[in-house]
Amino acid sequence: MTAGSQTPYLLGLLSERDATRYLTTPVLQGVERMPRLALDKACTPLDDESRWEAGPVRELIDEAMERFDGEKTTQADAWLAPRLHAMMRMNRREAADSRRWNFLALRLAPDYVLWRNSPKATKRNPVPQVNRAHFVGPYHKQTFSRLWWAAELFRNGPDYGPVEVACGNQESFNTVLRLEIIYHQATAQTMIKLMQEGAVRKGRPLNGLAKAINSAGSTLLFDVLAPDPPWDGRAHDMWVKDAASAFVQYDALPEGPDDGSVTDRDVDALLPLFRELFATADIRGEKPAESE
Amino acid sequence: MSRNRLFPYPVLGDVCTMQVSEVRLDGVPLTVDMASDRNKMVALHHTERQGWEVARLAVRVHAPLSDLEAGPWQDVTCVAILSERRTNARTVTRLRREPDGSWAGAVLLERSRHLKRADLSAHLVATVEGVQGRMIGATQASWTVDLQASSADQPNTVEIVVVDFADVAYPHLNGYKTDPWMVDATGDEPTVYLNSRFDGLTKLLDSGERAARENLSAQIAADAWTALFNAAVYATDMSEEGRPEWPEGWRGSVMQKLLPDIFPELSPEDGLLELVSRRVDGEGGGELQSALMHAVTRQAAVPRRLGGFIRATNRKEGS
Amino acid sequence: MDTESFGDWLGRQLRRQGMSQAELATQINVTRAAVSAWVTNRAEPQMNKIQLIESVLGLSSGSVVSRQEPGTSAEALTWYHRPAHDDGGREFGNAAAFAFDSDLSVLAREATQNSMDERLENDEPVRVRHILDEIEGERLYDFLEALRWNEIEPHVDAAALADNKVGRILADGLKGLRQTGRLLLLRIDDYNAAGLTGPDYDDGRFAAVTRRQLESRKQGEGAGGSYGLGKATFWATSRLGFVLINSTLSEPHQGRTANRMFGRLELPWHRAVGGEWSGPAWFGEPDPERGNVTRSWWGDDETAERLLLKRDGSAPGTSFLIIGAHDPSGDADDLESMHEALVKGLASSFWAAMVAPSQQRPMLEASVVARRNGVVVIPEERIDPDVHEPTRSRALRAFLEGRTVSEPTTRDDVVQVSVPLQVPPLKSAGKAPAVTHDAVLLLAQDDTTPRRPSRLVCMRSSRMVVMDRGVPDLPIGVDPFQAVLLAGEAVGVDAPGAKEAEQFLRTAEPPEHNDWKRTDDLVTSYARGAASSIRNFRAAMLEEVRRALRPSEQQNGDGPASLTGLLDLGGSRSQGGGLRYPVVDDVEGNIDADGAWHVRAEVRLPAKDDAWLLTPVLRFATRSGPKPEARWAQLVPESHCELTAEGALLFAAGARKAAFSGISDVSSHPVAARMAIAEIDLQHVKESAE
Repeated sequence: MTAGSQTPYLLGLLSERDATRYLTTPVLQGVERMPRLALDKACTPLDDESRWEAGPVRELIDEAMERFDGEKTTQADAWLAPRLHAMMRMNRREAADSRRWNFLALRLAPDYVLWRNSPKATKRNPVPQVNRAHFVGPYHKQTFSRLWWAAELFRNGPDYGPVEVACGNQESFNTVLRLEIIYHQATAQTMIKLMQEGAVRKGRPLNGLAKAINSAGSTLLFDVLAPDPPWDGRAHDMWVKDAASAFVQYDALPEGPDDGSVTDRDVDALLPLFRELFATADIRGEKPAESE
Repeated sequence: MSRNRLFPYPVLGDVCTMQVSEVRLDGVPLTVDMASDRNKMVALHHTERQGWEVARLAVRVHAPLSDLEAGPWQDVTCVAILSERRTNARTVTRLRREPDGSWAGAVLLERSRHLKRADLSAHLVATVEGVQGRMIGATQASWTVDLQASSADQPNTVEIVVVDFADVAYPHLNGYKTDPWMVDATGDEPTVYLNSRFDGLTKLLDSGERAARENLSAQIAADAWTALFNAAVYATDMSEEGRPEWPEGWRGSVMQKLLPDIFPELSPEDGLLELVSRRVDGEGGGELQSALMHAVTRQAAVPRRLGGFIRATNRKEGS
Repeated sequence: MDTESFGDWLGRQLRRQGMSQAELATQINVTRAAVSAWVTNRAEPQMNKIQLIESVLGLSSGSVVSRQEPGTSAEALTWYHRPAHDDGGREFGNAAAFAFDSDLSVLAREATQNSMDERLENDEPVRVRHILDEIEGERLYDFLEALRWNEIEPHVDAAALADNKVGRILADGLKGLRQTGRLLLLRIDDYNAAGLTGPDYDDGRFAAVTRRQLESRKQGEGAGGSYGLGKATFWATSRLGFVLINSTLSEPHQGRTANRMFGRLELPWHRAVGGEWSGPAWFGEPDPERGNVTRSWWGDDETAERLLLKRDGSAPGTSFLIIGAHDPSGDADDLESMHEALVKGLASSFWAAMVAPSQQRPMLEASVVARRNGVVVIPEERIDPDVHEPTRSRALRAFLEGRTVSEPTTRDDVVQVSVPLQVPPLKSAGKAPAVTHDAVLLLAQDDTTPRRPSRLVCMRSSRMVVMDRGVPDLPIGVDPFQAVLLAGEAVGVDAPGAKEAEQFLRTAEPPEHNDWKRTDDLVTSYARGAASSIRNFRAAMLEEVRRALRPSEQQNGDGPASLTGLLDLGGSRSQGGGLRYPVVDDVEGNIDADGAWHVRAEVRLPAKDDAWLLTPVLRFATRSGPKPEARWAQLVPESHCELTAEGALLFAAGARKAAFSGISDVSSHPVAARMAIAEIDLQHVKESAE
């Protein structure tokens, strides 16, 4: 499926109230198309800024489906997350508006939502349907917002490398992304470090590690052990404004905003503690688990 | 609430108090009524200063000093934590120790990292029995920094919008233009719409006779709570352990408010489990609806307000 | 006042020594007429005669020139008891003392008010010092001997027989002294004040305090009572009705200033030592010119010391020693609580007089100290207005330093608004126009969690708190504040209408000086409209407080108030009707060497006839999100419950309390036990059909 002429010029906003009206069972099953004209009426286009141009986003999504077609669709996440983030340049205030993500899922790329999330048809469930939350749902479940937020919370300043690592493990979305421990940059990067080292490679260990950190977070304030740098709003602003001239590469990793990163020293301050937490955690299921 | 908690080390408890003594938007101070110690609330919406970038909140934290000094805590520090779930943002500010033993500092709220309502609390952190970074105490009640409120007196209520239901700017209401009110329980903020084209409705609510006004308000509120509750039920998910998770935002608040009256003999957690399992089992029927009606009636103060209305009517007829 | 004339001085020396003019004439070899001429100021002696006079009178050389004389020693002192009236009239108490419902804070208020009224006109504060001293043993004995207790004891005993309030108080006082062998003294000093100037019998401060009742000498314009009714509280605070005085004068009397001493005993009518007595008695030097009457004496340092009235330094002022001090209200009954009552009383009435702008001295400094037998038991506490009234002091200081604002931007800002007062003309002024005075109202946010938040206190030039009012009908959601109203000369001596307002408000004060209202004096002295003017002023000050506190921005688009109140999403609703389901009420526990939690939980159950079936759950708290559960390695029911095969607890029917203990399964911990908070909960057991 290609973008074609049906792609709007600008991205827009779509309220949950209007969105849910169109999420009928046939639509969730993929047997019926979204009523585009009706949807267009309900949508409010964003300002005419190059960062809100819909075309490049649609092309990026097409590229993802092309690259990972025939493979496990979950693998598209690690590729798409940093690039979507680098293309839709915005601050957290803007990203917190879920109407933006509703628009992407219902108006811009419902085909991607179905492609990425459709369960396999089984005997018991011959016509499977996509969970509604992948279209309209919390930030850690909705198909596009989860990618953007994973990129936002796992990147280390301009470096999207950690995002690729995190998005290679579905537990990053299912567990880690929704816990407040991830608001702390040094905690996020230390978890990435443990994932890179190989100790925490699969879903279950990552789930166990996240839970252990989250529990220990009831008594420990990691933010004091390894203080985050203050957020550099101006640097972030500049990066957002730079959207007009930036070009997101498909093969090379893009660059994120240089709005504050943690150093190896910060990670080293937490690493021994996290190793210890992991060592004492209850990791259920000894055998390597599937990632989803 | 925390009598069932066990700490693996000595703590001071949630005994600190915090004050917000000054708020500046881009360096310009806000009037004092934008911060209320009583409501523990700071309002940041100022009609003449819409485009601000940074709010600076001067905070001061007091802890019981004698208890603190007597305890086994070393390297005690105090931090203010500003966080908002909607924007996944947290700012931790280390406060400085003042000569009088309190802690003070300035918390910066970057507008581009916050949307609606941020939570501001303070924590005492210390080295305890050789373990660094332990939280040993916190504020009893945290502050709410509301970016959309224009007064610190505004409680966190469901938004009420008076609008003509035939107004094309509100297409979703156009289908209900003969209705007096409508509850929108979708999205991040629930809204009660009052139809201004419904003759006399807003006049009665704003300036009508007190008993009539309150009785009508109770009816609308009862409808609103019912709609909010039903929406919240559908937003409640099971965790992987098979326990229901409290929905976030207003949906969680609605659950917390109504469940104790719906399942009086169950703890809120058990009540939530009961609710979700009935939904899964398809038992959302009669009994639950009766219990919900009871809870909503209480929440909307229907007995008192209807009773007052009846009495007032009787008086009028008798005279 | 000029130095005393030689004649007056000589006459007094002769009386003191009981020497006649004729005797002196003989001893220095002059005629009796010459001495008479000296004494009557018709002539002065030559130098050689002066030296002779000094030697005959036993004075040091030069005494005559400097008009010095030795202080009177204790041996020369005596008591004068006023005989009963010949007409048989009897007084059973001092009317002035009954005019007040007295307690220690009233005493502190009245005494300090007098001290401030008598403050010398300079930039120095008047210093007020309260010394509580409980004496016993040798110290007590020596003290009683010095004041000739044996001479008055029979009178006090007799007066104590009276079957009325005064009699009972006296009886209590005597009983206390005799049974405990202790006597509590309260000494109130002021420094940098006028002192008790003036003659012994004629008009003046001395006579006003020691000889007269219900006389108010209004000295300055701002004077409240100036030893009017207020002095009665000194005597009302003594269980023996006994007060000793020592004053250092600001203007010499008889050429002297230091150690003017006197004592007064205030008894009801009684019959004793073979006579009938009117009641009051005075302790001093006999005045031969007035029969047995006693007058003040110039004490020597030794006597002042023995009577525990030695003053510090030479600063003028007066010391009152209240003998057998007590709290007339009975609230404070020991040294410590009396100390506290005095500190509180001084702070709440006079905090404002103790506030000064930076770099300047306040109008008043006050302190309280407590001793036992001269040894300090509660160190001297200089009352700090910033400690006792932090918010109000901050507000006043901001005004004094010109730092108030009209719109607050920080919580520390002090808002200043004005409250108009119409002062009608005095009747005596004829058809003069009314004067408008703008009183100053100060408002400050109160962050100190005070005992009484959100009140308004009012004062005029003395900065003594006259009124302390609550503010009704405040806007909803107003944070605690304190408001201070300054009127009359407290606004500034030169402020428009300040003088007139000061006098008007003083006239509007009742004898207790604790209100501004329609007084008889007010309607007698002022033209029509005085009463309504006060009424309007009282209403206006409250209205201005409310107006200043009203939020500046009108609420916008919140919908009808009757509806918003029902749609509050904040907080969780407390369940009506008390406990409805079992809860873990208390837990204790520790972590063993293997890292397992050993816990013991107490459960509170609601009244219910059936048994409860619940599963105890051990959870680990988290920063956010779901709390992971751990398994039990062992679960032991302790009381009012039993363990089911499924691992649940069956709580006995009707039980209101139960307990169980358990050990966690370490292998199920999501994290090491010592790293997280643990929580014990009870979960409903679903009776599922499966």
